[in-house]
Amino acid sequence: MNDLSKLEVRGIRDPWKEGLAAGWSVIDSSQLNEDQTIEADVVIIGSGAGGGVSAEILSQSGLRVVIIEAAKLKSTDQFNMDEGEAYRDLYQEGAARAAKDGSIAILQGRAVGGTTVVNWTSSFRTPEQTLSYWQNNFGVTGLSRSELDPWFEKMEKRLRVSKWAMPPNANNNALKNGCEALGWGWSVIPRNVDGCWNLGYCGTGCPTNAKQSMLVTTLPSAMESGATLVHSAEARTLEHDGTRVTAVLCNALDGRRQATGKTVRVVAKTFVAAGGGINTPALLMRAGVPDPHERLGKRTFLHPTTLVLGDFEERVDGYYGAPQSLYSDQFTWRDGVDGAIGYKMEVMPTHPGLMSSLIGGYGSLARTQVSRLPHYAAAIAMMRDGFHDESEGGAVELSKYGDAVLDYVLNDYVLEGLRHSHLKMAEMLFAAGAQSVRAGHGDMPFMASWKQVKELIPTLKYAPGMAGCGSAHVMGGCTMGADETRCLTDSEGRYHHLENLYVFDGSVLPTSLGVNPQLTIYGMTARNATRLATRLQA
Amino acid sequence: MNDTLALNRRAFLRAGLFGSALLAGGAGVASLSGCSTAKVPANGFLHLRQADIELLTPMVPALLAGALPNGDADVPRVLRRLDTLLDSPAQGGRDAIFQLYDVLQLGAFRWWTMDAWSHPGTLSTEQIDQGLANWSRKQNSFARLALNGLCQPLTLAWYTDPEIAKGTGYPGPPSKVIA
Ligand SMILES: Cc1cc2nc3c(=O)[nH]c(=O)nc-3n(C[C@H](O)[C@H](O)[C@H](O)COP(=O)(O)OP(=O)(O)OC[C@H]3O[C@@H](n4cnc5c(N)ncnc54)[C@H](O)[C@@H]3O)c2cc1C
Ligand code: SF4
Repeated sequence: MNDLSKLEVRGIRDPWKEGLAAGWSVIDSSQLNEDQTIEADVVIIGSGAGGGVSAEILSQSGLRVVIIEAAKLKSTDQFNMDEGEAYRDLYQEGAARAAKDGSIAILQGRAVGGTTVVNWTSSFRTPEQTLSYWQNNFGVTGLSRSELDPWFEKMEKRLRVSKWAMPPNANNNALKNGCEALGWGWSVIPRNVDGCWNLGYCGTGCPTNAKQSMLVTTLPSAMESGATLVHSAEARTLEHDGTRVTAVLCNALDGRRQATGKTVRVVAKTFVAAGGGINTPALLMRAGVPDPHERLGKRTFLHPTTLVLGDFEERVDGYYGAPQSLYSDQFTWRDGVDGAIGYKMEVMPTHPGLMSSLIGGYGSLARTQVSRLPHYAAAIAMMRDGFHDESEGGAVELSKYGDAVLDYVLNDYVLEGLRHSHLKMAEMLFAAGAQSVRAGHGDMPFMASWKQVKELIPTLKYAPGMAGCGSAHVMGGCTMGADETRCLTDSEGRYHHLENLYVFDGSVLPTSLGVNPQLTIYGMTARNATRLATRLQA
Repeated sequence: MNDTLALNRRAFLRAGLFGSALLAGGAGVASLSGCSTAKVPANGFLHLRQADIELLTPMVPALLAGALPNGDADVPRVLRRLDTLLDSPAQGGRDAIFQLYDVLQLGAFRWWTMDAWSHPGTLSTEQIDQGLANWSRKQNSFARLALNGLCQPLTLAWYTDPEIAKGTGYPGPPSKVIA
């Protein structure tokens, strides 16, 4: 790939700058000098995949919608592709969120537009096997693949999802070459982009508006329909009487995410929780909503993800170009739906901040490895957690400060998958022509032959803190389904124990998915928000 | 292994590195390390305390060996970037990092991980490097989680500096010109 550092991105509109000038109703809570009370028909807490889609549908149906977002509004003009700034301004906990024991790094967005502002644009429909599993094991109804397909189609049109037609960058191409050499399946990823410049900065906020994130699609259209956005406002609790919610109470936050002391209270008829996995359950826990079977925050899934680096003689420049354009499902269902943990293989971009911390280690060895950055292909495998008795996922807890913490323990069931995926991705990268390969394990050096790797990996200890593990997909924690002893929302997203509370985000997923989550959340939310709109208009 | 340390180790394991709960023996660790009074950030810092700075200053040249274009002169800049990075995690997550810095004040903990009782301030960079090598070879989950907790935030803080990022061979991002 050419050196893109000389390229200038110019002539791009900022829809929010224009919208603000045109009088969109936006409240920057950090600037409030007094507590505020606002009234609405529907208040949506969180402006990501679920929140954005809900906002568009509900406000277009004529309802007065207020959207609450903890992050400060940041939009196109400010997306300057600086990694450090992006982590600080657009990610939960400055990209330093992790499982409670520190063993899994958790990337999650915190932005107007939620995680869709920083995601890598891969857009898959939910696998049939996953939806059937929910139907059979959780009593989810109306969400079979054939019933959801029209909603996927609608959202694919809305967000311009199509298979990536440009040649893959060398990072993705390594996955293809490896799979082809080994006779493994691979295919092209559909992406939600319109006029993509093929830059590779999806993770730091797309500077060209090509990525069809909520920030440039559903949220602007909700604003055009009269919605109000309250940003820099973190919902801390809900006022309720055990049967209905009456208001959401938010802390205004300053530029350093600290409470300013001012509050925003939104009184509404209907409440939509859309803060995403970890955060939605935490809000409901802080609010003390009825949870008779203590299910809140349980079954939180992560697609625990492993990394293997292949060092190629030629430059790969994996930080440039569409970050994810090819994938392999060779091992996604390797032992059926509910056997040994399966995993989807993709690649990840190699920007230096994130990649050097994933390379890990310290001192001169770390430095030597980091210095080969332009030559790395970075294959990843996402474990399909939640389909087995030994895969109950993590549990959300509240810290003594009331903030969310995820207790997720990498047990032997998941660790077996980590090891298996390390082996397979190493084999794939050697087959693709890597001169040496290193799996993301603290005791593994770069090794020059598949034979050496094949001998070493089975001897390594796989334990938290030793095998590297991360996540960019937080799912579950407010399990959907009919069985009230195990589930918190019905199949339309309504909270079982409160009449007017709905959960429209990734936290309702009863298991992980086996595909990147955004399109599942868009499709399910489009269906459930449309049903809600109909109900509220009746 | 003395009992206090064994106890703290279990407590620490439970609390986690970026985790929320305070060390069960948190107060104990703080008083053992003699820094229970030093809860306030050092002058000019948002979070790092004087004791942390004294602990990390000698360790950074070993931890980021080869990555400091100006050698030891870069250490203050590293610590500033770390301090800024530590401003973003939730309070509970930040507490866990500081528990790690606290526990590193304990000779016994350093002896267990680095085979060195002495405060890093009294060791040479080579000795610290050797200590880190011992630590990184430990086949113990807790020790390795702790080592990651020491290394990863520093690495992330440092390599997100645009100038340092270029030292990896990364040419840098395109530039954004606002209309
Ligand atoms: C680096 C990265 C790459 C990814 N790549 C892909 C990809 O290529 N394809 C894909 O399908 N998925 C990808 N994902 C994941 C995907 O984007 C998310 O799963 C999806 O956006 C989750 O949607 P959500 O509605 O559950 O929550 P989110 O989109 O996370 O939105 C939740 C929003 O709510 C706000 N919020 C939370 N709590 C509160 C509160 N109490 N008060 C106020 N606001 C609150 C948050 O700040 C956040 O902005 C990626 C994720 C990451 C981190
Ligand atoms: S690759 Fe495309 S979608 Fe991603 S940041 Fe670049 S222009 Fe935007």
